[in-house]
Amino acid sequence: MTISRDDVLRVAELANLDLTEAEIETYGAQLASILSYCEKLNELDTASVEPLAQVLEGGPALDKQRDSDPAERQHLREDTPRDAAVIAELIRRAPEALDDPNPYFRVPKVIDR
Amino acid sequence: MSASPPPPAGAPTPPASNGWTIAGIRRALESRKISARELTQEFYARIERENPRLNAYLALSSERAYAQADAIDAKLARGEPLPPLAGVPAALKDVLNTHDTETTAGSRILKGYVPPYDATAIARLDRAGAIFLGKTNCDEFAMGSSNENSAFGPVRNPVAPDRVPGGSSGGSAAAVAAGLAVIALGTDTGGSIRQPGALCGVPAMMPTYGRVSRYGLIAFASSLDRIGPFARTVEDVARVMEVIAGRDPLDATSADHPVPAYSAGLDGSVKGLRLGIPAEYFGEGLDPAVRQKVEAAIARLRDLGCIPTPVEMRHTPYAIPTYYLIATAEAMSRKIMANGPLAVKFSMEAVNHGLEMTQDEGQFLEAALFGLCCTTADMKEGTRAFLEKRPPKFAGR
Repeated sequence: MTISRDDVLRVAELANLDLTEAEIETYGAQLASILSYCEKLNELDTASVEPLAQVLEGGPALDKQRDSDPAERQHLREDTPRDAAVIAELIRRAPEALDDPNPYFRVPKVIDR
Repeated sequence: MSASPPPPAGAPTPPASNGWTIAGIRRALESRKISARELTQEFYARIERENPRLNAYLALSSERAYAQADAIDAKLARGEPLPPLAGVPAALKDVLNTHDTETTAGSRILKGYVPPYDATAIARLDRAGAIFLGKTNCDEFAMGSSNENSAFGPVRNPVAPDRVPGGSSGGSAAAVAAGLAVIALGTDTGGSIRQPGALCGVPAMMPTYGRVSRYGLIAFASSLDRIGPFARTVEDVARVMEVIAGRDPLDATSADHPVPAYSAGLDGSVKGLRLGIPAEYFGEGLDPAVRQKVEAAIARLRDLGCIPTPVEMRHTPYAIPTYYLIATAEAMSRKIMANGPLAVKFSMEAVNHGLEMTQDEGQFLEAALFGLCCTTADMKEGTRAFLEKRPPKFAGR
């Protein structure tokens, strides 16, 4: 698999990295080799493999619930509001937090362009 | 097992264990040979001596540890029964949230973060009477295999301080190997318990996915992350598992299966058990010295009546490429909010456009963000196909 110079520069831009000419070469080759390695997976025919959304689906303890409510099979709890007091406590512990009108974090500006 | 051959001449020797086990501590407490407070002091003295050399601990939680120890001593004084891990000094990997003890995941990004709650596995150890000595060093956000990738310096292997302890749970493995804790918790996404356990020569276990709740774990890749124990003996690994395993309503991926008494199954014979030996695991990259040890262990088990049986695991060569795809994609989506310009830019744009997102759209956003970060034509094409198939239905305000 090939990686163009533009691909490398775009990734560097997204990651906020300034690369030297030599680094563009090196990283381009490394990115290409990682992707070629993962291309190995194309050898496998997965057309008949069911997509897996959740590892626990159909686990032994769930077999008896197979005909029950799908939400239960997927281990979802009742959709009822619970106390989330930890949120206010988390925000209170931030280096900088304000109340206006609800509490929130303040973080340093990270984008300069 | 007593039959392991003596180490070859010149091989590094592990530091002397201070000999404490879970059962030994219980006997010592019940017979009043030592109090939980004295035991805690003994471990902190050892940590003070050894940690500057090993860098296994990042933070010590002595206030909580002594409170936990005093609670055990009070139970003893009142003649109450002791919980299963009473007075057992524990080291906790720094990716696990601990109430009022700094938790950094080995990263300067989280320096100063003091969680207001315990992860479920931690809360269960607490209820079982363990004593939390402190938080252990690890590769930053558990991403690494040598512990050299911590923002707070590498951990050294207690067996041979010029070598790495393995990672990412290297601090937990080293703490147990050096006798700076009796038990420790680590996490494993792609080898981070198994490999440092092996490199430091201590029993360690990566449980089956879903066995231990990950609530309160700073996630690396949620389809793969597992929490598990280190200890000086297999029995103690089993005893910790009995405490931390089991369904937790706060982690929808935790399995609703009964937790057996693992430690009760340790005295049985291996006679007649079939032991699968996957040929693929003995291939390229296996160190001859490691091969020799593994083969010696197989021979020993055969002598004990076990039946080694060759098995085929033909998909083994695909495991690592699959891991790389899943782990990096999930790490990307989990860390997105903390992860820098792209995510911030995207959320700012979303806010500017007055967007409200449903969960479905949130998942879509994760996938799209991952796609944006992929630069190959194939992956861009995949993302575009995904976009076209499932157009975003953002609700304007």
